[in-house]
Amino acid sequence: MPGYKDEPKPLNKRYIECIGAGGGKMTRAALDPFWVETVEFLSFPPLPKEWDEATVAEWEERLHFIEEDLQWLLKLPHHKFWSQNVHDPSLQASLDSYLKNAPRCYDRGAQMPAPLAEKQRSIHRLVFMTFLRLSTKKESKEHFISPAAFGEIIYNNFIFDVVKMMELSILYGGGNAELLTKMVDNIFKQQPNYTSDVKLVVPTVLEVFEKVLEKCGLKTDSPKKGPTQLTDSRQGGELLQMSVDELTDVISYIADSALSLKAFLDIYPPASQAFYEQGFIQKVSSFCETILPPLSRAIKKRQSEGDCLPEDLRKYLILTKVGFAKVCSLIINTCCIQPVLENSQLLMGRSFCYKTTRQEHQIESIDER
Amino acid sequence: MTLPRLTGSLRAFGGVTANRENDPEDDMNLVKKGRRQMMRKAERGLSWKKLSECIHKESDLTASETTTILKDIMHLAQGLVGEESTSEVVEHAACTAFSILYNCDQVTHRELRQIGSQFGSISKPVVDDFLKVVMKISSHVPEEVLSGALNPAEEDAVKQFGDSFKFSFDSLLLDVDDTQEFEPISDKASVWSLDF
Repeated sequence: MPGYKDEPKPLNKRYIECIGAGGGKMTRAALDPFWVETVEFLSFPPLPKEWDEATVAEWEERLHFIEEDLQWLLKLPHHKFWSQNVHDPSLQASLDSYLKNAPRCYDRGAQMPAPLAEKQRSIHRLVFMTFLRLSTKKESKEHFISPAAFGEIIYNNFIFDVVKMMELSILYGGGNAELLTKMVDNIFKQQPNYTSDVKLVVPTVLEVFEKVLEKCGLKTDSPKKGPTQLTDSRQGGELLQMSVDELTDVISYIADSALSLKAFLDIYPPASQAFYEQGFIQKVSSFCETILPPLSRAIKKRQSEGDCLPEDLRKYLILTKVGFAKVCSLIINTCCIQPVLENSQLLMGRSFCYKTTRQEHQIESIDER
Repeated sequence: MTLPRLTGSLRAFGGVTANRENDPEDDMNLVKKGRRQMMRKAERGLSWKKLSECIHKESDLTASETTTILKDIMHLAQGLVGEESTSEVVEHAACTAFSILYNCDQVTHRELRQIGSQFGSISKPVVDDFLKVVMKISSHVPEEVLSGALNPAEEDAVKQFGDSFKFSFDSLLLDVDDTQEFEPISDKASVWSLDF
């Protein structure tokens, strides 16, 4: 009689036989701190302002360790990979630090020097593959996690969060957009709490914009509803007194905000709904109208007065404007245009069915005659 | 240099990310990390026991010559990690320095830095002496045997997740027309083009 083979169990219900510290046999849950190896993953710090020889050497060493550790991580069997990710805070901190500090394509003068660039590219790919593996609930027939448990594991352990998904979008949304969209779609599908988190993030984004206006001396005491009047005389005198670094930071910050939001909504358009419902379009247009012209004027004025401003600051203002306009366009498209198109297609479909039924009925009537 | 990022603010005030305040700070210096890495590699395959057995079995030196040379290595390794170190740490150090210096003709800045990252500041003469012993062993043990002992094949044979996946390094496209103006419509010369 052929032996009965057990059905493979999901990671969250699997137990694995192993040798304990005393040398005896024992069983352990597949997802358990027992499988964690003490690695002490290193973080990816913010890039230094200047690269001297010692800094390059130190970074070379650091990147080498990060690369080696991630290669090792991706070779781990399924249960060890997940146990390490869930139970090793140094790994989560390391991945987080890469998402936070990795140079963006638009960062001003913050790119890796040539000797380190190749290593960084390798780490860039390895980090993506790590998140790809983390977003995969079924790796093979034997190695999988049940959908409900998967949603809980990734949410409760902050394996993914909305901010990380935003950062993944900005870092990998260029050439890997298709795969990233599938990853993010799957994450939202398995864990609806992420949709609630997007709703929580929107007011914070808007508060941040208010703070920027305040810093630039462009915030009125009584905030207006709706777009700013065209004749508004707020000038933002603070912009003319700020240090060059502060002014550069404000501009870089709003450009990063626009491009991060755009990248995220490009990858996951359904998130637009949360932005739409909270009046993001009106508020962001008002923000742009309030801040962009004074910033543009401040750059011109300070340049004409001989201030040594970075040459590309204006380019960042354009990026901001284009970025926010695209964000609004994505939101309108997802929340207003698409539903109308879908409804009209539905109606056309119904009308077609109705016509067909009527025609059939007419034909039947003719036949009867 | 921390750059101003929206996601930085969302991490701080959004309430949707993990609180990382209690996480271990990454103040682990590279020397400490180097030692940790060395221990882990030793646990995964390259051990002093294996290496010394290989030298004993495969070298064309006499037994007493081999014993002497291995003692020399241990002595030099002790010099790298300090005399108060346990025999386990000294053995790991011997393996690590041996792997770094294997196939080297001379000690350059690169080897010094690699060894320095594992053991802290070291003097060149100590590493030079280590290299001499490594070269002597290399000349008495077949190359493929020594390479095999230094690079356990098991780990390389394991497939890495994503190895066969297509990955693109292309970043987001940022085409901008920097002739655009920012004056509101009420000001003269308004060109708020929305033609993106």
